[in-house]
Amino acid sequence: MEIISRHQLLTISIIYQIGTTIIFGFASGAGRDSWLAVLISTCLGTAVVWIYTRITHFNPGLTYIECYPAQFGKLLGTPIAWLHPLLFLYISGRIVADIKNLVPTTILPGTPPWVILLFFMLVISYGLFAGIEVMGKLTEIILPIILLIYLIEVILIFSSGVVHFDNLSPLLDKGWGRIWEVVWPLGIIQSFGESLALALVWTLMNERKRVGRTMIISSLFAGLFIAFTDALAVAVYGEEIFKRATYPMYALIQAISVSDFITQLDATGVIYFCFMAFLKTYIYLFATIRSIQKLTYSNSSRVFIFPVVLIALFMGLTMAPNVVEHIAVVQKVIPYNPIYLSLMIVFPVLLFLVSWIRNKSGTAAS
Amino acid sequence: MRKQVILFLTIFVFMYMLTGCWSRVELNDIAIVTAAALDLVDDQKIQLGVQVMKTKMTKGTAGRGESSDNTTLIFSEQGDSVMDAYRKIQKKIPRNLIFSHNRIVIIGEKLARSGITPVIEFFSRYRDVRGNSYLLTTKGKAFDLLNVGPNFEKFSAEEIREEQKARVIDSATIRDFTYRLLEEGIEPITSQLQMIPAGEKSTEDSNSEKKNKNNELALGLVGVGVYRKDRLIGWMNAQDAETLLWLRNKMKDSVITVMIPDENKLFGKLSVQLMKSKATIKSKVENEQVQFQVNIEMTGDLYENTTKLSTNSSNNLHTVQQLLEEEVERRIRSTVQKSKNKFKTDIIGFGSKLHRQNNKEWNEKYSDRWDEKFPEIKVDVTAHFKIIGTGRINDSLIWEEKEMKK
Amino acid sequence: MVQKIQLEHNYDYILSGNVTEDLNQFKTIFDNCIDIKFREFDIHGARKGALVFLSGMVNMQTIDFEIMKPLIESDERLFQESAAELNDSDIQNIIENRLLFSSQLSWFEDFPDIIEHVLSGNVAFLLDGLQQVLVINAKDWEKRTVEEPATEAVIRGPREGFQETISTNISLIRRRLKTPQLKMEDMKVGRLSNTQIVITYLEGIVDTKLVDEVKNRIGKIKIDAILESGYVEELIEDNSFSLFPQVLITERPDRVVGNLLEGKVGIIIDNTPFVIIVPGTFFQLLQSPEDYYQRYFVASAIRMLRFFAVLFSLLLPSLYIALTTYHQEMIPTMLLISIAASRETVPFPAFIEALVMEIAFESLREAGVRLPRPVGQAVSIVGGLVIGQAAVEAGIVSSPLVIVVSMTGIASFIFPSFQLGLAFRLLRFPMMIAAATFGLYGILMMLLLLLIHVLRLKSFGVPYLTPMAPLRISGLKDVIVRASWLKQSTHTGELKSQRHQNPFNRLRQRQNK
Repeated sequence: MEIISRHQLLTISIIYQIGTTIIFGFASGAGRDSWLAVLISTCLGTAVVWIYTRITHFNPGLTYIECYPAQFGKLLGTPIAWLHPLLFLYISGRIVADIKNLVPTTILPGTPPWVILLFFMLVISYGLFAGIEVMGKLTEIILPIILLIYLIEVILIFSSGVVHFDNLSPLLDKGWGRIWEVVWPLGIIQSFGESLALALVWTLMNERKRVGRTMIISSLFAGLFIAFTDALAVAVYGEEIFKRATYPMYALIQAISVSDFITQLDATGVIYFCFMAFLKTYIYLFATIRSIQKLTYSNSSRVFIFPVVLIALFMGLTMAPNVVEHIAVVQKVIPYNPIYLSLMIVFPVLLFLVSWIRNKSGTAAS
Repeated sequence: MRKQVILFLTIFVFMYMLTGCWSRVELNDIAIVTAAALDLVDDQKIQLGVQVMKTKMTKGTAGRGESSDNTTLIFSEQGDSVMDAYRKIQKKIPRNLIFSHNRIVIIGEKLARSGITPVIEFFSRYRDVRGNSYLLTTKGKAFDLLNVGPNFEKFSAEEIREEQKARVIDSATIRDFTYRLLEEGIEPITSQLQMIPAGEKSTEDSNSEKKNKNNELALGLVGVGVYRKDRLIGWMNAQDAETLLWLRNKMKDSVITVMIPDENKLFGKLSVQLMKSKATIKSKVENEQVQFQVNIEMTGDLYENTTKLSTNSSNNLHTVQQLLEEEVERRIRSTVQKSKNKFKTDIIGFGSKLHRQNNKEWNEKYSDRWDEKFPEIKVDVTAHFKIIGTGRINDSLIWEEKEMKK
Repeated sequence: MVQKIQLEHNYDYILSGNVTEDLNQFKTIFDNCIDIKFREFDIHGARKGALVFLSGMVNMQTIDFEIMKPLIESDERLFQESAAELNDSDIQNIIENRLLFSSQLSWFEDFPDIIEHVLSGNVAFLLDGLQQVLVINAKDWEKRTVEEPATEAVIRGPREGFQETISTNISLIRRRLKTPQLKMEDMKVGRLSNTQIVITYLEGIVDTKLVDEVKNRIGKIKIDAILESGYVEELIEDNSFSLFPQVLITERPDRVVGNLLEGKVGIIIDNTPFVIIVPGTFFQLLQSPEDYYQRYFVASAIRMLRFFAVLFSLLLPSLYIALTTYHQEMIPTMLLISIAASRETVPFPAFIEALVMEIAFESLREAGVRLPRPVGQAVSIVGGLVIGQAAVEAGIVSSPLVIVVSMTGIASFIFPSFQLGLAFRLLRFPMMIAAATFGLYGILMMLLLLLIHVLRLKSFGVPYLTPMAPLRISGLKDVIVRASWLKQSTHTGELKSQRHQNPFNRLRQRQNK
């Protein structure tokens, strides 16, 4: 049985929650108030994450997926539980598609996307074979490096003389309307609601009691990180370009120019993104495989690795014909899709209440 | 079994990597674009000219003195769009044009007057192009400027970029331009690039008839082009361009010269090097009348004094400071005046200030009609000048009377 | 634990007690061995005696004056007087206590034992009437003197290195740890070579499970001969399907002792100057013993330099390929122009160019190692200067690439561990292929593959990247920097023992007890 430490869970969660927003931006629809929208989403999102951790707390010994059959009964719980691996698989397919859209258009024009993705998936399958423990160690090494590079990047941006905090004012220019639009439900689902996949990692941690606190720390950290980055992007580009850019954060890296020597680091931005996408896909696929394993009561998870990876690869390759459609799905479809909402918010809340009441009455009875 | 799987995967990985190299471009196959020039030609086509580094000729070893004209090549082609023209050039030459090191984009007057959105669009969208090249406008054809050879650097575009970075006059990169184009309440400008004889003074009208053949030609920045949205509507001279820098708090290096008027016995000139300049613009809306208060605080060193005024006494310095303040105020007023009345376009960004400071009123009343409202605004200017140093000598070398009589 | 010699013929060799008979048995066993010597003699005509030994492995002086002389000159009465009354143990007693001056002797009755001892340079003494053979230590053979180790030179620090004789090596360690806590356990490995292997550790500091595991793994070795520590390393490491060395190999006694103090186990092997230390971790392989002798600021700076060297030697050529063929925009314009200018005449793609240069460099290096020293220098001069210069001038390779390749080469010389350096030298090539195919993306993916592989590695149960992953902040003090001894009170490794590394601290603790 693999065991990860608290610190490893923390690093995995932080990288996972910052995730692909490092390129795509978060809540860019809110324009210059996006950082505010991120902060609000963070507060609400952290609450959602807390609910997830409580659920696993009330059901000791069970993974999150197994809580549904346990609390709702097999008839009702099992189908709901089965929705999860499907959702995870779908989202991992989406991230793979992100890679498909971003990498060939930015740093590797002319390379067929399937080749890029095959290499990507190969590394992921090796990681899946190596197990979550290795991934915990990997993030432990890489997170400090990422934060260091980010810090250098921020310093470079400031010394490039392109930051104008004027651009952030006026606050609430167009009122709360557009902030609320991006916060609910997309802001909560993105990053924070998606932490659901991490719930399958929690049972592998050595100090189960501290899962809740670890997750809250990582959610807040990720939220602040994203908020700061958003604010910086607006300060550099102004609201209008920020809203129009396909990859706002990618543009942010382009702005770096220090004494004509360190310039045009956009390729490194893509590399950043690839790593984040790597970890995110990894966690989703890990969650998919683990939930399938739990739901089929099989002993080994290894048999599921190749089928799942291949499905994700196929989905990534065929998902969206172009970037516009692909990104439009995030903004138009996902927030209003009942599956997302119900799996990430409605069911967990119900499950939380049921477990809570059971737990309370259980302790009262005994 | 496990070993076989690993072996298989390894072989597979390498085989598939070796078949690759799809997007590879060798350095021998690229042509580095250092400057691009865009013009509108008669039949509404866009002419794109590119200045390309001739890597072969610049081969490093020192002392190979070749004439500077040879380091770059120039290609030009016409097309329906920028991309079209670019593709046509690409067909003519055997190497891949790489735009990522492009220094400057020069736009001819004709194209600028008809709107430069196509250019901006191409330079913001195309993968290879970066937003930090400088955008310049020129009177006449932009293409002609590409031919002018460099005097110091390896290629002329680099020289222009250096000049722009020195921030003697207001400038804009493509990114800045786009920002100002899209942002509410501020209109874009670009620097104006002209061909000037190296020995002549760099003012606006110097390029016309005085082209002396003995004088080597050089490129110089002579002012700014003023835009409304994406259309060029006029030119401002170098002095105004400098004032714009003050107002945008971008001043790096500026000199103000004031004259002590003729009627005074101390007659002469004083030149002051600006050290710091900080402008704050406050907005106010009173009875439908938009008012701006421009406050500018400057410090500087006195570097030239041809008057008989002693700079050793603080009294005299006060007088000089007063003169300077008046001069600064006059210049700002005149620039604002031009922007307001002559061009009717808000290149200083009063609108965005109003937006930031009174955003409710802005959103309700002015956001949509700022073009109309802008000429009606009232601007008050106050300047504060502080001389902090007087250079290496304190008294004027030309001295007769120590005190200035009022 | 001691593995018995497998006698080739299936006779039952049993000591008869009759010297002539027994000697014949020996002669059969050592048939066609010219280096074996038999010496028969009479002791006062009463009893026959014989010595069996290998010439060249014994000290003749010792045999002549300390064995033969006392025996022959011994008091006649000892043997003549009522010879029948003396039983075996009496005779043994007399020989041991009153005749021989040797400090190391013991009695054996089994042939395999005796033969083993004879083969390792001891003298067997047979005496009529005794069914036991006395084995006397008279080992002495030609050996190197203790010299400065060739592969791990230091500027400050002891100049002693191990050599090929295990007893000398043991003494070099023992001299540095004068405590009964230092244990040395003996093992014999190799069906034919019968190599002596000594496992050494500090009791009370080491995790006993680790010692058991080491003994277990060495015990399981089935091989004809051990010629070098490499055999043992390969047979006991956790993951042989890896480029990375998972044990530490050193020629320096001070380094062995330093590691023993950290709770590691040393494996000393006869006939090689290299001692294996387990478990080996990546960061340890990046350390030089000198780090602990120099001032710690300097040592810390040098350690950081080594991290850069690791990155350089792994990534520099591939970054060059990736940047020049995929991401030209990232190179500063002026630099790009000069690189492009010098590449102008080069007929190959950057990847082939780099590959050829790297292979050329590696061959030069290998040639330099194998050739006699004066010739080796000539090779490096001809190869490095003449060919390099000529190739650049002929426009076959570009000069920036020559710079890149030589910088990579220099970086790979910075590795304190030659084995680790080899791993990175080899890894450079897949990295270059990945860079040539996918640019930076390829490099990233390759790095991830590499990291996952390295993170899976364990050496005797200790994760390879300890203490970086899993993270142990206190351990980093001795990894990224070399903290002062005053600040460094705890262990760096993931070893169970909580003893202090600082020798002074330990001293203090003992005094407190």
